[in-house]
Amino acid sequence: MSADSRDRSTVQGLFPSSDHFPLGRAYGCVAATPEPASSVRPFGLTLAVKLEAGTVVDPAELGYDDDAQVGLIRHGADMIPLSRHTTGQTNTITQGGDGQTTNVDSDTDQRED
Amino acid sequence: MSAARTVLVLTHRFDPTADTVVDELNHRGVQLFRCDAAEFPERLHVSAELVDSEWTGPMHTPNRGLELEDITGIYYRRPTAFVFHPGLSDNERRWAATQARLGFGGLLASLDRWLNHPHSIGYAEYKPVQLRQAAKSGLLVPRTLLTSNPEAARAFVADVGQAVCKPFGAVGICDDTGFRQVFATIVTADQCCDPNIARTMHLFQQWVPKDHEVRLTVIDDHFFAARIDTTSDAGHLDWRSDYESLSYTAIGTPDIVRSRVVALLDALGLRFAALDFVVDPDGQWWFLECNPNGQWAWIEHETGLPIAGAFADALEGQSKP
Repeated sequence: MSADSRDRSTVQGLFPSSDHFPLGRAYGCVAATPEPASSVRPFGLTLAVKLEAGTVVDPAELGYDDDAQVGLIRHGADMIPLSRHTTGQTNTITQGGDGQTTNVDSDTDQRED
Repeated sequence: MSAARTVLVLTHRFDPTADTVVDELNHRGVQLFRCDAAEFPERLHVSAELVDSEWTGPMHTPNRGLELEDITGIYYRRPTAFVFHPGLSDNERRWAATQARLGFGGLLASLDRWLNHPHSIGYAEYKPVQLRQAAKSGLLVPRTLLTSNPEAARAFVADVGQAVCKPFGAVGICDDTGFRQVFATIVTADQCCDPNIARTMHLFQQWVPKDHEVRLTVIDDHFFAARIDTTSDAGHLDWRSDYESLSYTAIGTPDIVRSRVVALLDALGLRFAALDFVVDPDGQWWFLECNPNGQWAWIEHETGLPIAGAFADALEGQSKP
């Protein structure tokens, strides 16, 4: 099953009430496929810039503590709590195994890309 | 099995902001059930019966569970999309997804004690909504134009003198130059002659002279204000674009701002929000935006403000909604 087909589970509309829960998408499925800019790229999007800095996380290095119910991340030979590694700034990036950016955490739930 | 007084945390497994609250709740010995909507329906099971006007029944995974009637607080962070049995066809999955949203999502939506209710988050995420409500609440709001009309944009920018173009939501794009994100960007009137302003909706806002910025985190009646200073031009324009240049100081919130923020959050139906302000050289606080599901853990990390503790209080039902 593709992530794309999972995301298109509701009929798109201006105010889709059934889309209120959950607000999120399938995990790790954000704008992962590069494509060239079109000739009619919206003006606002032409102002986009590369991030100066971000906390890049490789999903292969992540784990989960079922007892404490917190995420873990590899630190050398150990797995340590994820919250000790990153402070959840608004531009935390999850880097996919294929080298593409797959998730950027932000202040905003991302629903409409 | 009843797990009395349980906090429900809805998010995916790799969410350091949620982890900070979970750590605090674990430290307090609070019963806690963390799950993701993606676990429904294959790993997360729920049954509920309407008894005396309340939905009652169990929700559980293979590892733990709770009784709906025992929930003291629900922290809505970043639950991700439902994942269905791989044997379903696409059409079957779409049907199942609608049932899951309206049934499972509807059951949760009917419960009280949210921080924040997802419908309120969805409503408050609309910048036009929050800007209007902020102005109605008495907060200072920069002159703002929403338009898909290049001529209207050009005229507005020429009139206010200095303006920024900013996105309605923090969605980036992956193109052939890599991943890019849109931040608030200074624009000129000449730039706004671009016909591709007509391709979608745009937000133009008067540039407010800036002494510093403030991120104000509010949880029920707890206010945590962090002054943000920057040493770079990019950070001065939009602090999200250059974290390395930032420094943070815990400060107080002026009473007049506090009362108006209370009015704003009441209007938006929010118990929690991370709000951004510009403070001008005269000390006036200008409202920029309200993030109803915003990030805050790094503010606690940088300032020592006890934000996770306030979340835990709210989720345990110990603070005043």
